[in-house]
Amino acid sequence: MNHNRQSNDGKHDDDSALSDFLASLMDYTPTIPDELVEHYLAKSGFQCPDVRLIRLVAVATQKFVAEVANDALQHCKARQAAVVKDKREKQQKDKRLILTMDDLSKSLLEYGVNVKQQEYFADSPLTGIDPATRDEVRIMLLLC
Amino acid sequence: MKDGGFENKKELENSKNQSKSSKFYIKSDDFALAIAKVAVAQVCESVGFQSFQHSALEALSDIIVWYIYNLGKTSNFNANLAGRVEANVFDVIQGLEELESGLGFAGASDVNRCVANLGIVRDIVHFFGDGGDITFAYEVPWFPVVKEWKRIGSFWEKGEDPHGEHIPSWLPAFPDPDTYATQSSVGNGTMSASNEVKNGRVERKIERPLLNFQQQFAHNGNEGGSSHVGGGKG
Repeated sequence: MNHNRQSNDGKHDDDSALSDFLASLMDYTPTIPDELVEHYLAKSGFQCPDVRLIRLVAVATQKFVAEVANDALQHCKARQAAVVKDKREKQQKDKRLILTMDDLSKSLLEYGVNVKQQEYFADSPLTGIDPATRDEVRIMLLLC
Repeated sequence: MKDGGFENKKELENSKNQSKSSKFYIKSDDFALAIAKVAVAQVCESVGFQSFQHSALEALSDIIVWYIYNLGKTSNFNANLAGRVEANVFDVIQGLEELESGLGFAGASDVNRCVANLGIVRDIVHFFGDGGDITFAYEVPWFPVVKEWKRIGSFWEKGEDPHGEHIPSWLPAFPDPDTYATQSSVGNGTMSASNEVKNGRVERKIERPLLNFQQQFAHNGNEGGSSHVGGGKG
């Protein structure tokens, strides 16, 4: 009997925790707009008239982006700390934190997303040539 | 060397033509992707980044679009598995678990525990307990906007007589004979107006009735997907 009462109380607590959580979702406005989330959810076949679920998805997505961006930031800072050794001028210039494809692919790899960019594209004979000589080569190709 | 030169020229022209046509090529998802890019940029700024590479931003916004889509798909699947058409909060939380399953989730193996006490939900609550609200930079209208379908009336509705017994009167009426006029393009031979929409890349002068017909057809006939606007307008 006692065990049953305890489990019932536990269930009641859980229910209230869930409803509190859903209520708190409406207080917070996520950065990702509801219209965007609804558009893609509708595309995927997700049907729900409850706005709180849309907010839940938006909030979860924002958390995901923030985590990925945070990891990329750590990679960026680690790289800057490794590069800067003696020259303090460089340190002041490198203070600018830029989200690069390199850092992003490293952080996404931990989440199971494989993003790889091409090192170079060899789509024309002029690829990889020094810009000064590139114009000369181009003119020669056009004249011939 | 001569062949190399010409090939290079052709490639340059082709790439120019492609970039020109891609300016007019309207993808159905551009607006949503642009909004996603702005949202991602705002979140990155709040995390601490001061600028970004364009390719990195595009990649990340593509990924979050995929994330939302996948979450919706998984939640819908879970709901259907339970014999429901509409998803509920448990379906969504289970979908979240599946997406984060690579990292592991605390408390999921415990049968007696409630879903709300699971690691994922708690993480979300903690995450938003710390930071403040960052509202989206722009006001987003409801999209996609559903256009009213302006129907080209049938023979019967227009009161016209179909040209022959083999054409039933409930079919859409033929367009005005003015729009049938053939145009001779510069160095490309004759092309009829009906091919205008398909071969939109050839640049030539278009008369007013032809232009209206093309616009009308593009708006009413080709709904959804890509709309291809031919060059040489006006």
